Amino acid sequence: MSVGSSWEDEVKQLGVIQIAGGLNKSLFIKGSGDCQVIKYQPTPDAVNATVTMSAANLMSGIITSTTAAAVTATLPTSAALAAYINAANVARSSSLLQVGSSFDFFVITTGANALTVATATGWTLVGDVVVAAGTSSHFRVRFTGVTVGAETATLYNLAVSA
Amino acid sequence: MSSWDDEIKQVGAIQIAGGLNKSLFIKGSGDSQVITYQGAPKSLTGDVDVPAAALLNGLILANGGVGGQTLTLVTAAVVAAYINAANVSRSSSLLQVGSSFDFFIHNASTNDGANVGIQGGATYVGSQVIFPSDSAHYRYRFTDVTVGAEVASIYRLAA
Repeated sequence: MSVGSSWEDEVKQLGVIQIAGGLNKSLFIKGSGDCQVIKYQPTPDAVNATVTMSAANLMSGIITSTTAAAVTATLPTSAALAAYINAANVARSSSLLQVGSSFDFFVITTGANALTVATATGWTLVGDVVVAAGTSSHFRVRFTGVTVGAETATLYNLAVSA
Repeated sequence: MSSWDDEIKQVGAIQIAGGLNKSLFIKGSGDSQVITYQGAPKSLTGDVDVPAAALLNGLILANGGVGGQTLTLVTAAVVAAYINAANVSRSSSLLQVGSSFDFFIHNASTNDGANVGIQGGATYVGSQVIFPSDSAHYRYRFTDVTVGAEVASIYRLAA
């Protein structure tokens, strides 16, 4: 059986759940009682100085910053981010991304200064990109173009802690 | 429990094979979502312990009243035991270092200064205070999964 030829392989080897056909179909995870989706959360990455963030920083899902001084955290290019994702899910030659592929990440500042997210090639930023001292922000990355090597994405600020 | 089918259906586990940094893609089209089960929210009154069930429920309705409210979380070992007891089909713990889930706390009080504070049970990163009429989003992450001696960190992710 070649990798990706069965539904089991699609999930196990590629990490893809594809709901067949049907525009607007959602994926239901059913349960009962007090239950959760329990997923893997890598060790959060720290960004404590002005830097261009890596794709891995974003994919860690949580970025902490002690912000001893004001920090500007520049995004990796959207193409670099896409390449990182596709390189990890290696078993298929074509990109796994589709227009609309998305993931969330969070920034927590615990010091006395803000962290400002700065744009890079391929990005559109929507919402507040300054994470004030002592607060948190919830961001969503959404790919808007998935031409390999020229991917584009939009970064949305979804929520900010008080 | 031997088959992959059983792993998902009976144990509730999706394991992506090999490959450091592999993500799980849920592909779709149009206006689609991942729709998950949300149990009826848990209401907590007064200065009380937060049981594992309330954390796993995911949505806690607190009320700082007039003078505020302090919520004390049970230990990570208790939370781990709750999770493993529910997913009963496997004898060993399902948890790995990094296993995580999110929960939210809403402070229904509208009185100035009637904050809800959370404490205990884990190491905290970010604010432990929920102001009146606000909600807080936390991520619970296991950092040690030695059975009976589990350890966790809790991150304040957003409002």
